Amino acid sequence: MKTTPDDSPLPGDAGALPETVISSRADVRLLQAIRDLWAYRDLFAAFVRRDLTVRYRQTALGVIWVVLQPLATGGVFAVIFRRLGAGADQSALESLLFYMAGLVPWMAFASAVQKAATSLETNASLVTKVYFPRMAVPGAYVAAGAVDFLIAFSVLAGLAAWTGRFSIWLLVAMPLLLLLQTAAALGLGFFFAILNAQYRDVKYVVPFVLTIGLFLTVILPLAQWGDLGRAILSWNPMMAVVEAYRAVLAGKAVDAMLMAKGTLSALVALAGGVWFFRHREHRLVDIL
Amino acid sequence: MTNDSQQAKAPAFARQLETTPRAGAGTWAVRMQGIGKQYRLGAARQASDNLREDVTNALRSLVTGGAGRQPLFWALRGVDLEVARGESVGIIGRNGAGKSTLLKILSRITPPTTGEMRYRGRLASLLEVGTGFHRELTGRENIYLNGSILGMRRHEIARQFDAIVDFAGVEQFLDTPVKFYSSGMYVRLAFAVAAHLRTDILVVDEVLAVGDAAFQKKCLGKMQDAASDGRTVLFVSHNMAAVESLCSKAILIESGSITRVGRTSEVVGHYFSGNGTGGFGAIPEDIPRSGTGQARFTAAYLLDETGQPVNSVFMGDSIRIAASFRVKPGGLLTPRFGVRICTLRGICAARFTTKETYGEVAPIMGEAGHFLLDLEGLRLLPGKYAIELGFSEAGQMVDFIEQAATFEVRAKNTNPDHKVIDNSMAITYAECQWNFSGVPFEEGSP
Repeated sequence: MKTTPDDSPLPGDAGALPETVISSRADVRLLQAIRDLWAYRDLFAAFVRRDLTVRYRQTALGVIWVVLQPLATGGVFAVIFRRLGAGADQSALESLLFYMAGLVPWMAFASAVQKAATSLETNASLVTKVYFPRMAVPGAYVAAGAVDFLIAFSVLAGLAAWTGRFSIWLLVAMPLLLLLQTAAALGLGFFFAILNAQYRDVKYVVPFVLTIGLFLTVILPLAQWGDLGRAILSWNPMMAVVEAYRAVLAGKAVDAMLMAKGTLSALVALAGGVWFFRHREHRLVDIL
Repeated sequence: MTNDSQQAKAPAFARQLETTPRAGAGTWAVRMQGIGKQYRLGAARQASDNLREDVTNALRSLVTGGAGRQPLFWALRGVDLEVARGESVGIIGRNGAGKSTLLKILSRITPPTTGEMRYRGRLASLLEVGTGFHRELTGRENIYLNGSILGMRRHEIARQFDAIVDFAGVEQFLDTPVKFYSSGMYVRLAFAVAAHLRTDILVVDEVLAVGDAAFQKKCLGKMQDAASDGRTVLFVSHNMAAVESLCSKAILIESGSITRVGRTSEVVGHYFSGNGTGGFGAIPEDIPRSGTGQARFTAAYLLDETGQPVNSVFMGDSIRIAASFRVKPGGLLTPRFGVRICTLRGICAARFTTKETYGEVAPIMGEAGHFLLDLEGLRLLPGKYAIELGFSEAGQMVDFIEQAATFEVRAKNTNPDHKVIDNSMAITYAECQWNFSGVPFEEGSP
């Protein structure tokens, strides 16, 4: 921890010990916070490990759940919407691929946001007992969600290969899209986490919001929305992510304008989430 | 600091320290300047009759993080403190004096409202053992997780891993989730991690007050090791005996400021003497107390058989305690009372509550009242004792006074062959008789 070199000298050679400043002044606090983020990297890794280990312990299927959830949901969507006439010109497998391209990133995003939102509450006993950069808690859940995503993504890639839709661009786009998705998830996660620490209503609102988001983002391609819907939804960073995967799988060009808007709103969400979190985190101990 | 005058106030003390460095440890490890912490009394929130105002208030408090206009109070104010490297310092004070707030600031859990704190090197705080242990994780995984939470780097934990496992004695269960551990194993493992924490500054709470005597001893021993290693230890505690045995220096906090710094024995002595409660009688309004204040204890008496107030009783005498209180309009619907008898070192001998030994107390609607508590057969050893009075309603503390009054139990030798000790070694006694025999005891033998 702290900025101590690896083998910290024992007290005795004073000058070598780094100094930490805790101040009521916001600028000093910000500086220290940035230093801490690096100093506490091992703790962050430990949180991520904990989350990954605990999540599927004592489950029979374990990590298979990561794959099973989008696969089953995508299957149901494909069956229902083909019956309703959507994508009737495609094969069933291609329909499944279409929905999987949306569900794999969306479900990873949604579960990251959901876990981050309740993270401060579930870790209250930690937050009120030990100091560490508080952002590590929701941050670690989002990072662990990214690992889940990579596993689910490999199934998506496999499915694409099977249907002959695989291209190298899928692998090129994925890290960038994952970055975009993670930024958005972090922003929302920070925001909801700190809000949920005070207003426990938040944890009931978040799943509801995410369900609506699922329907808005995954079911219809952007092109099938009306003008107003398109104008609004194009600012949804996850819409950009989903559309990009679908474009790559269909062998089409990615809509650059949509990506720019999505990136911008993801960055705004991240910056806003960080600001909001930092603005309120000092009160955590008193409200948790 | 060993040579400082017991009378020195904190700021003067801090200056003095800088000019009189101790041999070998010339620099400070922790330094606080003008530290203050303000809280909002968040009890009753006034509802306005205007919905729009409520909504704007709510929105404003969402953004500013503050709520309404509840009164503010300073839990700590203008605290200046300097602790030299390698020192072990006890922080004492009564409940509500600001001890835990200072502890929270020291351990960085909450930031100060004013001022600045600096420390050199790594600081770790032990507010409890086993913080962050996860039931589903194995012993091995928890060692790494808990170690990281306490601020150890992963490779440091790896280096200490065998020592930790050894200390805890859990080798066979390393890969078993800790939810299957016995509570003893769990605590041993948790403590083993904390004990192997390598840090320059250690902030310790009364965690040590929990657990059995052997465990406490182990904890204190490890802390003493830390202090003699040249590490800095800050120990916040109620347990004066522990502070005295562990710390060379002590700091007394009263009403949010440091009122005394000096040798532990002197500060602890001052803490006991300066309570403003000699004997029995009226309880001053400004005595250190906590609670909502809906009702206040106003006087406490110790009575003899004839009902006369007295200051002392003989060993074995029955004890009658009377306490008067004043109630604000609105009364108390479900009052509960509690009385504890403790030594002046904070070790409690007996505790009586209406909940456990009386039942429901009738609602108190008048302006004042009193209760009488008769105690038979409480065999206290000679010495000074304090009476702690508590008063709650609907789970909320209304009034709580740690030392509402003190009284003395006087020695009386009922058996001339016995030697009477005072309450520094033990608190209670019983009529006793020893018998010896030359053969081992077996079941069934007389």
